[in-house]
Amino acid sequence: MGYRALPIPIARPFSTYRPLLVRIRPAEPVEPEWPASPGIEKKQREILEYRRHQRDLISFFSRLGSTQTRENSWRPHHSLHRPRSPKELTLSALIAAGAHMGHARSSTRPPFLPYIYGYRSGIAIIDLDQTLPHLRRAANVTRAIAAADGTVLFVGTTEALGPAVRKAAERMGENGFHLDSRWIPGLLTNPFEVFGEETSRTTNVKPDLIVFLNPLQNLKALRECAIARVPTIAITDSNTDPRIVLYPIPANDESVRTAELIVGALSIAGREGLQVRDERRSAQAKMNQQAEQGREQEMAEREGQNIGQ
Amino acid sequence: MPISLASSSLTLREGLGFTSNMAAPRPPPILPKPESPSFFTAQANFYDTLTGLESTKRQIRQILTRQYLLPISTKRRAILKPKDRAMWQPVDQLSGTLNHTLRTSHYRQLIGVLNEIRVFRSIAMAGRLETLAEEIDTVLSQFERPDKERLLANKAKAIQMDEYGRTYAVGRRKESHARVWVIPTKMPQEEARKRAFPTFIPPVTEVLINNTPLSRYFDNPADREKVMLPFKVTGTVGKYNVFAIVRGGGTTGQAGAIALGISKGLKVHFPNGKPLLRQVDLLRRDPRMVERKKTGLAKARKRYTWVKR
Repeated sequence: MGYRALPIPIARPFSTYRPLLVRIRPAEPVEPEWPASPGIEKKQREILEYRRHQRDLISFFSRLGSTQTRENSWRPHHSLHRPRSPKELTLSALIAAGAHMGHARSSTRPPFLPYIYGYRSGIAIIDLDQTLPHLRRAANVTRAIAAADGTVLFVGTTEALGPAVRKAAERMGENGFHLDSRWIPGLLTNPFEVFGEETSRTTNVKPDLIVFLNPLQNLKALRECAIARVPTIAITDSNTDPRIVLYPIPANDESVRTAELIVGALSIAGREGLQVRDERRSAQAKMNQQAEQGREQEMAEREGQNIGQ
Repeated sequence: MPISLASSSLTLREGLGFTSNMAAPRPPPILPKPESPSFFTAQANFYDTLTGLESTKRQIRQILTRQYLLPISTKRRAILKPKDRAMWQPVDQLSGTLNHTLRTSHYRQLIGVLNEIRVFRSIAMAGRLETLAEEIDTVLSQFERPDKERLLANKAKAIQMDEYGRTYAVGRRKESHARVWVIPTKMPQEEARKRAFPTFIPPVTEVLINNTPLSRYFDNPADREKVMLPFKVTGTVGKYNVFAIVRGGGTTGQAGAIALGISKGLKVHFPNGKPLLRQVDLLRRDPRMVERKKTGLAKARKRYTWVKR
């Protein structure tokens, strides 16, 4: 895109807009054909011109002024599309996501008391100095399970959590699964009925790790995990007993941003585990190849000796 | 009799009954992982299709926004609404296509997303993005009925005027059905010219029902009004005559059937009257029928007297 020395464009409301400058873009897009009266066509053309002008202004002025631009600032969709790895996560990121906000004082579960920093404005403040190590521990578990080629199921049964669990499963490729709708009772304890005879016999129907983003809505599922001996990770809030899961992460379960942050970190750890698995496999394959070659050489030498003898 | 270990030459294991030729339990077979990331929803085909369509919709919206075709005002969106009816596969056919029995709510969700993509297609066509429209077609054609062309060609037979300027229509109400001919009256001046004295004769709508005039066929003035309402609403009293053959039902049903038949014929004679007739609901076949009697009740809704003991 070549920039020329032009007079600075002055923005006007689109109804009185007259173009003052030649467009900076290299090619002219085709004018759309609107199947309507000439009046509406003219109005639509004006709107298009206005929108193009706005875009040109933004691109022109973004080069000038502050070094903090759209590209290098946090935007709301980053929590879903650009999560941070557990090593990069900081306390300030957790606070910005609202992970420290618990529930009302009266609904505090006594087993959760060790994770509470205090109470303010009637709600519990979760101690993030404990949240971060718990999150890193859960990430280590996910990484190790993925390195052993284990499958991870991400469960977030509300509509708001759907995109986060789907992305997390995508990050883990073949080993990642998501559940963004109702947990079907008997999924782990009665797979024969849920999936059918053939599928339950020929496919691995039990995940090796399940991550719950809203455990309070999935208590029956957690019970099934305990019966089926499946390790669980969950975001536990101050109104939840943290002992219902194997690896609790004390944080705010009502904040979507927190859930996206946590599940993003866990899925990145899972992805790292899969990389470790692939590296191990390729190293193993190399060793096997070398062993094979060594054996072949030995056989050839022995035959040579026999022939010599 | 218990073996005395001190005196025997058995090891503890052998004493407890473990023999050396007992095989170690085999580890469980490693089954393949499930293919779909939404396997644990137990409705993978549906959820994968839905998420796939929604991501397609998002991509299309992004492209249209980049071309400045979106956002679009409601007025222009109404202009660009697709003209043809959408011909999606019915529930059973779509269940076959997806190889999964669809619930009604799930079917409706899919159809909703498909209709939204169809609207984007017409916007793309208006913006002359033909390749994008073709790509959208390839996606949507998987969900359309195979006999779509044939069904679209089967348009409802429009009511036509014959060579004498008469229209024929059928009206139904409750158990009655009426065959109605709407015939324009001759110009009064013509009539007057034929007579001896050239006086002005005001035009009159003559209604013949089963060969009897309206006033003699219907005793109830409300029924007579119902029959004349289409002419009154459109201001065409005296312009047309009516000949009707009506069978079935009672007085109210027959009057309603005749009124519907007249309205259907009148909209062909007088197209400007169509919105006026629609405002008064005269173009709608009243779907109310006599409700069936239910067991345990005296009539359709009437209950027997409640007895305390």
